[in-house]
Amino acid sequence: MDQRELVERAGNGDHDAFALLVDVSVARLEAVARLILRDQELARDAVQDAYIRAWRDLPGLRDPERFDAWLHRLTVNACLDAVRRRKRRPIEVDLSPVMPATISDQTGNIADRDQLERGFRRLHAEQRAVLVLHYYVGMSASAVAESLDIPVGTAQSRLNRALTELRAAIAADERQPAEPRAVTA
Amino acid sequence: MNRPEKLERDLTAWLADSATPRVPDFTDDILWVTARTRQRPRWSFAQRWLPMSAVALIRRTSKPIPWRTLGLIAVLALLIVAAVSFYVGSQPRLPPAFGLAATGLVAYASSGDIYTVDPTTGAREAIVSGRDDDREPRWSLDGTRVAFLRSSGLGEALVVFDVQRREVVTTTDPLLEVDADSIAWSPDGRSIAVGASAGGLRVLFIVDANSGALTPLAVDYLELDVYWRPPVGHQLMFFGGTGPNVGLFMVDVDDGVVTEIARPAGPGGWIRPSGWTPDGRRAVFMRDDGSGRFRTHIVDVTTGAEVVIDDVAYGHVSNDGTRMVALDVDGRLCVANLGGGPCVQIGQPSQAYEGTHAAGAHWSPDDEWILIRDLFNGGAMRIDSDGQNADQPSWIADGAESIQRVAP
Repeated sequence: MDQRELVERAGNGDHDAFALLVDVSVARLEAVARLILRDQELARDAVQDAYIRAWRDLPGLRDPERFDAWLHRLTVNACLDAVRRRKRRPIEVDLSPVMPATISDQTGNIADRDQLERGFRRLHAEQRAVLVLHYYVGMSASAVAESLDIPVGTAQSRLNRALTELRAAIAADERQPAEPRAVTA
Repeated sequence: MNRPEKLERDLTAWLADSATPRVPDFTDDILWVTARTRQRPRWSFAQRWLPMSAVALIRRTSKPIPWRTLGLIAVLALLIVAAVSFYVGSQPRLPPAFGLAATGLVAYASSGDIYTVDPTTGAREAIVSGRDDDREPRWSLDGTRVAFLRSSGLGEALVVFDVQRREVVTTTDPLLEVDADSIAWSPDGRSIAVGASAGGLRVLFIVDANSGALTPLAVDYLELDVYWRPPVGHQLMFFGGTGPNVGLFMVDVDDGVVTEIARPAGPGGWIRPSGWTPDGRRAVFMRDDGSGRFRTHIVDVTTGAEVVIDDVAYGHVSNDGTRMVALDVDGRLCVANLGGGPCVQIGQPSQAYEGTHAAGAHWSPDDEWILIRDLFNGGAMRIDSDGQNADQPSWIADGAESIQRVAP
């Protein structure tokens, strides 16, 4: 059974079909949420919220071909909601890295990794979202636009702006080598 | 290779290394919840009614504005408004969730079944009967549904029953050690708060009144009745806390923010919620300072302005928010003005209600009379709010636990 048929069946209330859709997408979405939120617990809540909303609103999805983009939009929106909620109350900050570096690390030396980590954390969640969708999920600018429900031009400018700010954050970091590690996302 | 290209390449590699996709351990939780969540009906999505070109416009693409499509949307909008107007006009009027309303049917449980009785005509009807053991009916604030507890081998489930359709809307999973005092309908009728035990702790659950899904609130709930704050109704007043930091708190069920309302008067003291005024500005609660002396406090939660009525406890606020019925220091019924002043005794010395039960007393929705669970004689009793008449009419003989609000 192809994805289009699964989406149609799930939209008609077939929960087993929905379970198959979850199985093939949950690992990717959980990773996307972890990258945007930089917090495993928040990511877990956001992914759960996204799937609950997906199940509830699937009957309203008119074009099954758009399911992947729609699911990414729900996930990104759930992440942004989580960030907004977190700003309104104190949280316990998780100081551990989201995922430890592996020996297959191909990104260069430790300083480069840390600079990227710190720079990435300094970006707004919306900026992290466009970078994750483009550079991690591999979406084109038009696919990012569809996922975020924004015009293509806006998506492109957000990507450029996020890269510029990331570059500026790394440059600032290079000027302050003794700066302590950021502890909030 | 120039600098921007290197940054993009490094970013791609770093993102891939930072979050390798892995199947999370909460997939089953997602499927458990979604299996118990009802999907929205297809007709309720606006985009299902619009042409694809209009949907594309709504997606805020940068295409030129298609005026013909906009015109079509306007026509559709007018048709929808007309249809909604016709639908609303044909629906029975519902009462407001707070404030004065007219009095409808009285619900009660007897021998494991749920009954309603009309206090005007005395007409009685079993609305839920059978082999199940049901108790503690509670009308929704719009008077269309009744929630009640149903025994099961594992505990008690909360059942939502649509009185007009004569059908069960939903039944929750079994709950342990349910506190019937804590059953409280939200003003919008979508949720019901209920306290129960889970994992050795008391937990305040929010029940989805349509799907039966249970959501535990992340608060240190201890016990007693809870009250939704008017008029919006997404905040709950509850008794909770840990260790020495117990007191009355207010939690926003949408974002989880908890606000302290009041603490006990001192060591050995006690505090208990009594409700809200219908404008949602003032919280009403009782305190025992530890020496056995009671006071009722009416506190503006925004300004902190406070009215204290001495020697009065276990109050119930009238629907218009001007008075409360309570028990005085002699255990007698009295009615006090929430603006302050004495609590004027009503009824006879032998008449009082079970103060520790949230359903011990009810104002009729029009505030004309008060229903009490008679502490001394058992059963229930009706007493005029001015205290001139107290009686036990025939319709009340079998029980009376919750009064339906209907449109004036």
